[in-house]
Order: sequence, then structure tokens, then C-alpha cells
Amino acid sequence: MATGTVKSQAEPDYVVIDSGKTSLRDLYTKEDWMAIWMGFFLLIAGLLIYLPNPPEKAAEIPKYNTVMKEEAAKAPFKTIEWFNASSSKRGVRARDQEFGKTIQNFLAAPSDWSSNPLDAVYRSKEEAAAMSAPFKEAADKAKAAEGAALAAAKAAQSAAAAASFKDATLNSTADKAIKSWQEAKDKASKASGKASVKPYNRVPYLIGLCVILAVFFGIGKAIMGQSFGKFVVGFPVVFFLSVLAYIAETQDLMRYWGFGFPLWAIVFGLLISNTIGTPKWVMPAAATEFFIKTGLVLLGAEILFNKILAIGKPGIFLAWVCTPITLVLTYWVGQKFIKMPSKTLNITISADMSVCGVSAAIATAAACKAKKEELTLAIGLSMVFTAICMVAQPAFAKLVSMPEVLAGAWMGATIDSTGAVAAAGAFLGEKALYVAATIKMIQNVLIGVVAFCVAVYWCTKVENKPGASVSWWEVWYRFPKFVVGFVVASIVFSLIDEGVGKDMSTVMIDQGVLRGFTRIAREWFFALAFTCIGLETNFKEFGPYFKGGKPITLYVFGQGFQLAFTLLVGYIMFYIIFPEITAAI
Amino acid sequence: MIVKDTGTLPAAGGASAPPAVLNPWLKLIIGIALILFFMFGIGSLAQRIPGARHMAHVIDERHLRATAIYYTDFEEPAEGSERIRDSLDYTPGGKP
Repeated sequence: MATGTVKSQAEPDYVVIDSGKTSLRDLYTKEDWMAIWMGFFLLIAGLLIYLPNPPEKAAEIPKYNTVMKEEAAKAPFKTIEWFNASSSKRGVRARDQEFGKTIQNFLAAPSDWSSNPLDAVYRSKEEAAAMSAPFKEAADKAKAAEGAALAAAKAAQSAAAAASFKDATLNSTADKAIKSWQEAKDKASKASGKASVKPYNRVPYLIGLCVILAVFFGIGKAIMGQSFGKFVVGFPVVFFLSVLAYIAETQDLMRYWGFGFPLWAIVFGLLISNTIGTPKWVMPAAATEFFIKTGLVLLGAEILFNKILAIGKPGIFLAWVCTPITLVLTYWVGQKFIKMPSKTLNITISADMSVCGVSAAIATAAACKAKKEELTLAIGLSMVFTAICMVAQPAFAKLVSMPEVLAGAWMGATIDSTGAVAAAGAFLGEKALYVAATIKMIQNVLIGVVAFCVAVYWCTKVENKPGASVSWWEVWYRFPKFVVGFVVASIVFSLIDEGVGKDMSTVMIDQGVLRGFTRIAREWFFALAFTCIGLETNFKEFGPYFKGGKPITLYVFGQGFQLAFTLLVGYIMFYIIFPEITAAI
Repeated sequence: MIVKDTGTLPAAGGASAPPAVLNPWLKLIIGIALILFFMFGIGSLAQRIPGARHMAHVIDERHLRATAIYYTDFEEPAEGSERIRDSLDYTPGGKP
């Protein structure tokens, strides 16, 4: 991204290399390359920590699969044993081992709170016990209800088995009883969670994390020839504001509306820079580009291409055909008819709206070197529309009695924010939740392709004079190099994901290296980056972008088209072309 | 770049900004008050909308992270995709 007007003199601006000159020194003096090395360092560390240490229960996975296979062949419905095997398999996670829990404790963000912000970082044993107490009775009742439902399910299944699963009425009764048991189990699990609030003190961990991140990025700065000392002195302020952003996100009412840390980090940064001014000594630590690019390299590892097969062909069609069509059409309409004030703002909003909100905005903005105000604007729009859609869309689906699978697929492909998609799905029911979350996951993977294509398109077309040809070397000089790290991380992790097999990949990569280490680090890096954006930005710089309300017009057009188009395609895919997949879900 | 004597970078408009009407610290306090008003005032008023109230209940009950920005940031996509994969790989009565 281009830098703004308020910038530390110690930190050089991000410069597109279009002079045709490059040298080996770039590998350790340019921010893009340094972000790649630092991201790779963390990814390799994650692999070295987790891969040699699979959980003991991982050896049981083939057994669980055999049980599901045998049960599926035996009965025309999912039996109790089938569900138990599936549930046990999902419970095997590398990050649940002691060392994984230690890493996660160290990197954990502040917790939820309601009225006292200090609850986000500290909860005593007494408070935890007091919070758990009112729910103990409900949890016990839910546990008892689960036991009763299981007994009823066992009886119904036995009756169906006694008839060799050939009596349709008995099969249907057993199927219903087993589903009731699953619902009771789910309720018991939720009740148990509320009745087991744990005490914590995050303050020492946060101080430790601040020191580690300051040294980690400070070393990177020093290698690039900038001052380690100045960076380390200013860093605690940036980190403190990032912690505040997390605390604002975890406030109950803000959680409900989906207003996450990116928005709050920008708001708190803006508040400082536009009132008392950002202290001069903080600015060397306001390394927006460095944080965001390192975070994006880590995000690359989370782009696992095998995920796109998670729900079969309908999912691929919905997320990987409808979404790019919406993206390209919105961008084209933005240029041709709405006359957006900037191409980079246009593509950032188009990607943010059509793909997956904030994460797509970050990747696309960085790939096309959008200005920080443009990224901020895109994120603000996305959060406001997400808050509206996450309530309005499930309400509409309920009003028209839309089937859960279709509603889940529709919301998964159209609501921007990934978390809000799950909430909207849960509004309708379990099936809608899981379909919505899975479709969104498939769509999330698309951001790797979008960022790469946008970077190439910008280098070869947008940054060129019309009609002028450009050599491949020139394209390479201009290309944002961190995208190379982003793509390499994605390809390498996708290959590892494929190589170790679906089940072991889930246990070791998804539920190990990624969720147990690098994704938490990535989130902190983004929080730091957004705080820096706020610290460097002036409110007045937003003015020109709002002229004529064009960003809002673009967003409304794109979202309106996506809502109608995706609903139509979703219906065709899930109910006309692949109804058997819908039935199996 | 013009740096104020206070050791801070130019705020609210930089060097070309008109003279500040309010004391910067007063502006900061007003800003904090506005944020708190948004969080606790507007945020809670919005809970009077029926759909939003139900949504809050769902989010609380499942402990969903509605603010997640990527699928790895919360559990539901992993759990959902695993459930769906098992359902498609081990479909009772034959594969779809």
C-alpha cells in the first residue's frame, strides 16, 4: 500500500520498483522480502513444533473411519456408533496437547466481557466460580436429558436392528431418536461450557508477548538497516492499542454486531492521531506495511486448496464461479458506470464485498498497493453491511421458509465476514450453520488466487500506459514481492495437506500448526497493522473518497447482484443438479 | 514534516490544519466518550430489534466468534466441513 502523509522519517516509504534495477541486497533490505523471511521463519517453527509430535489418539483415526464405513453399510441412517466415531475423530487435535495449550495461552487475545473491561484480561477464581454457579443446575439437567435421549435412541436403534433395518417405520423412528439425541448432546455441551468458566490472568502473557514481538520485528528492522532501539521504544504503545482493540471486540454488544478488532484498531489509532497527535517516538514502530505483509505470508499457509472440495461440486461452483463473476462485474461497473475515484479503492471494495470481507480487503489492498485510507474505507463499509446482513438474511430465509442447506449456502457465499456467516447460519439451525461455514471456508481460499491475479493485473495493465507493452522483467520489478511468499506458503502447505492425507492434515496442520500457532500470530500482526494505519491517518484524508457516495453505491450494487445471483445458482446446484449431495448433508 | 514542540506528529490536518478550536486532550476525552456511547448506548439500543436480539442469543449460546475474519479464526468451519466430509464419505445406504 502507498503510505500516507504522516510517516516517520526513519521508515522509508514503500516504493514500487519500476526502475529496472534490483540487487541481492533487496533480499534483506526491502520490506517485502523481509516479511517473507519472517513469515517463513514462523511457519517453519510451527511445522517443527507440531509435525514431530502427533497426538496419541491420531493412531485411532483409521479405526473411527472403519466404524463409520461399517455402520454406513449396515443401516440406512447414521447410527449412534457412526456419530460417536465421527465425534471422536473430530476431537483429535494436535494443539490440544500440553505444549500446544502453552503456546495458545501465550498468544491468546483478551477474553469476553460485558461491563468491566478488566474482565477481558483478568478473572479470579471466585469470579469464575460465581459466573459458573447459576448454570450448574441447567448443565446437570441438560446432561440428564442427553442421557435419556441416548437411552431412547439406543432402544429405537435396537428395534430397527432387530428387523435387520428393513422396516421403514422402525428405521425412521430410530433416525429421529438419534437426531434428538444429537440435539440433546449439543445442548448439554453448550450448557456445560457455560457452567465451567475458568479463571485467567492474561497480563503477564501480554507483557511477554509484547517483548517477544518487539524483539522479533525489531530484528527485522535492524537487518533492513533501521533502528532497533527506536522501534522497540515505540512498539509498546502500538501493542497496547492493539490490545485495546481486542478488548473492544470482545465486549458482548460489539461481539453480537460483529465489530471486530480491525475496526477498533483503526478507531483507536485515529483517535490518538487526530486528537493529541501520535508521539514522534512511536512512529518508528508504526510499521504498517511490515506487519501486514508478514501477516499475509502467514495467511498464505491457511489457504489450503484441498478445502475447496469440502462440500463437492455445488460448493466449488457457488464459491469459485459466482464469486469471481461478482468481483469482476462489480469492478467493471465501478469503473464504467459509477466512475469510482480510484481503481485501487474499486478493486478493494469489490474484493471485500464479493469474497470474504476484511481478509480479502487486506490481501487485495496490499496486492494492488491501495492507500491505507482506501483499505480503511473498505473495511468500514464491510463491517456495517455485515452487521445488517447477518441479521436480515437469516430473518428473510426464515420468513420465506428457505431450506437450511440453501439458506446456509446462500449466506455463506454472500455475507462478507466469515464469523458473521456462521452466526447467520446458527440463527437458522445446525445444518445451515455448517453449510454456511463450509461454503465460506471454500470462498476464503479464493483470496489467494484473487490477490495473485490482482497483483499481476496491476503490474501488467493498470500501472502501464494504455497500449504500451511491458517486459516480464519489468513486471517482476514492479510485482509486490511479498505476494510470492504468500503464494509459496499456500502451495507448500497445500502440498503438505495433500501429502499427509485429509484426516492427518486436519489433526496436524489445521488443528496444529495453523490454529495452534501461526494463525494466532497472524491475527496479532493484523491488529498491529490496523493500529498503525489509524496512527498514521488523518480524518480529512477520507473526504475525497466519499464524494457522491460512490463507495456505498458500488457496495450496494455488488451486494445486491451477489444476493440474487448466488441464490439462483445455489438453488440450481443444490436442488436441481446435485440433490443427492443435499440429501446426504 | 513539521513536528510540534510537544514531540508529537501533526494531528488533525497536519501543518496545514486550521488552529485547533478544542484542546487536544479535551478532544481525546470527547472521542473516548463517543466510543463508550457507541459501545454501550447504541449497541444496547440495537438489541431492541427482535432479529438482533435473537442473533445475540445464538452467538452467546454457541459462543460463536461473529467477528472472525478467516475460517481458521473459529471452530465452526472446521467442525462443519468435517461433519459434511464424513456425511459424504460414509453416507448410509451408499455414496452420493
